[in-house]
Amino acid sequence: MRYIDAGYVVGLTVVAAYAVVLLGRRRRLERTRRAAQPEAGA
Amino acid sequence: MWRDALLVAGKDLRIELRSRVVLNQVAPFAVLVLVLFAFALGPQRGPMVQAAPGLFWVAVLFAAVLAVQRSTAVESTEGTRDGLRAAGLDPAGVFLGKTGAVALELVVLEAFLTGGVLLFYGVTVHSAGLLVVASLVGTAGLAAVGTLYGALSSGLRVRETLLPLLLLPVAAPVLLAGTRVWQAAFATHATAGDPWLRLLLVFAAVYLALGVVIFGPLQEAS
Amino acid sequence: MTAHASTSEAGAAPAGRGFTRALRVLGVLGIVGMGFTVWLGLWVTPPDRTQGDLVRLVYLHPPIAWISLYLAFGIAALSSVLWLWPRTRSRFWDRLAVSAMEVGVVFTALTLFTGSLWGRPTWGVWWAWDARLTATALLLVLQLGYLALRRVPSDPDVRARRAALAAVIAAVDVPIVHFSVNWWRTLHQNATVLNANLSPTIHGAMAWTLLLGFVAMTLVFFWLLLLRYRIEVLAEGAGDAALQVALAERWSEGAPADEPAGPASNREPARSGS
Repeated sequence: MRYIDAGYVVGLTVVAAYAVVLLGRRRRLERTRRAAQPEAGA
Repeated sequence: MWRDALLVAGKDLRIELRSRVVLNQVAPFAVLVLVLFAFALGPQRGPMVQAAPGLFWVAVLFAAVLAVQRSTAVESTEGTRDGLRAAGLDPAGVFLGKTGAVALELVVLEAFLTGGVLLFYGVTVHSAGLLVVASLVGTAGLAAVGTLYGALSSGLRVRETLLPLLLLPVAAPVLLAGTRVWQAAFATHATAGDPWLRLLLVFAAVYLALGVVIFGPLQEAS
Repeated sequence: MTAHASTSEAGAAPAGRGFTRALRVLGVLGIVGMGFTVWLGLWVTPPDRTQGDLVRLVYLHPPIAWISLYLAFGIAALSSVLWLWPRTRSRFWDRLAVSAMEVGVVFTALTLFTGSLWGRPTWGVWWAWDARLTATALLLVLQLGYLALRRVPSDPDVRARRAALAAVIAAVDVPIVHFSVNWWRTLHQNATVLNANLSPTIHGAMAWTLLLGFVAMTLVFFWLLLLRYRIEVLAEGAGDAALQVALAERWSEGAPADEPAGPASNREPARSGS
């Protein structure tokens, strides 16, 4: 693997990791929201 | 506005004269910073002489944080803050007053510090006027932005750790420019400091103007 | 106390269908675009005559840097002003500001990372105090300070105003920092031959790839921004919902043992808008 490849991998992994964190946070919060208002419907 | 400013400045300075916190605690702290740097940079004159302008301004920056903390703490009892607002004082005036008080305290401190730098680091000054002007203008800017951040963080319990984190990055240009002007003042070609002096002026003007405009809403946010 | 623009009684409203679709489209386009950029950038485009393969960072570093400063921080600063301005005040701006600042921090850190990567083979060191890196490092600290201030728990409106003011005070400093740091580097012809001109000559396939890189990164940024925005809405609502649940539990504690615990909403006292 070239130096540049490693650079790309690390950089894009950071973005991907952040995206995963955000998606996870959103899923958890959506679940909480749905639990809190069962009558209102999703 | 100016009358309120003088009123508030007078109050802050009178508190300082009576409690002498800046004199007894902040000033020794600043001198201590200089001494610690001497330990860090080694006994040889060379590195210290080269670093002297920067070290001075770093010490000033740290002292400014403490001075602003003190200035904000003075208002921290609920009564005083609401009292200031209820008294109908113009917020811009309060801002200028507090800034002025902090600036004056810092300038006095800098006078001592300059003596300390000349003594400890053994530098020679070629253009004292430049030194004085730079210190005055730089300090004005520092006091202005410090007062803003101080008021912003005034209600918070984490103020002690938050204020340095907020203030020091924004004050970085003052450190940069102040150091350059001082370097020029120590060296023989004093004109090299001119663009930097202008930067200090811009910084001070910008933050004094900003403070006058936003101090009102800022007070309501704390 | 204060009305929240889009939160309903017991928590946030579900995301509008248009919003969710836009989010998904942005995400897909952004990721696909990035995929193409990587493919083109790492393999299809030719290496530079002087910099070799290192030039491939041009497809990442400038877009990330531009987004971090002008897009992310710019949006955060502008949103802060719009929140402070009475006529345009709306929870939307406050949420947008924090979202932009947080996503911005990630991009700023990446700017430093890619810049450092580029510098290491060129300058021989992992870090150098060149104008852009220094200014970016300062920007990172400013953004972290904003986020730290934001974390302090308080009334949402007070917190919003406080953060917005901090953002404005910092934003005013950014141009000053840029000037001063640039003067610092140019007025002082310093030691190492820091050829700040890392910009290679771009033409042909490289130019298209660079454009794609900008577009794809921007799409990814907006995807993350909207995602974070949605999270902010949900988090505000969750705060309300948690309050509801706690209140309901408190009320049911006081009720006699054989009374069935009805749905939470029946038990609430007069709604106190949080």
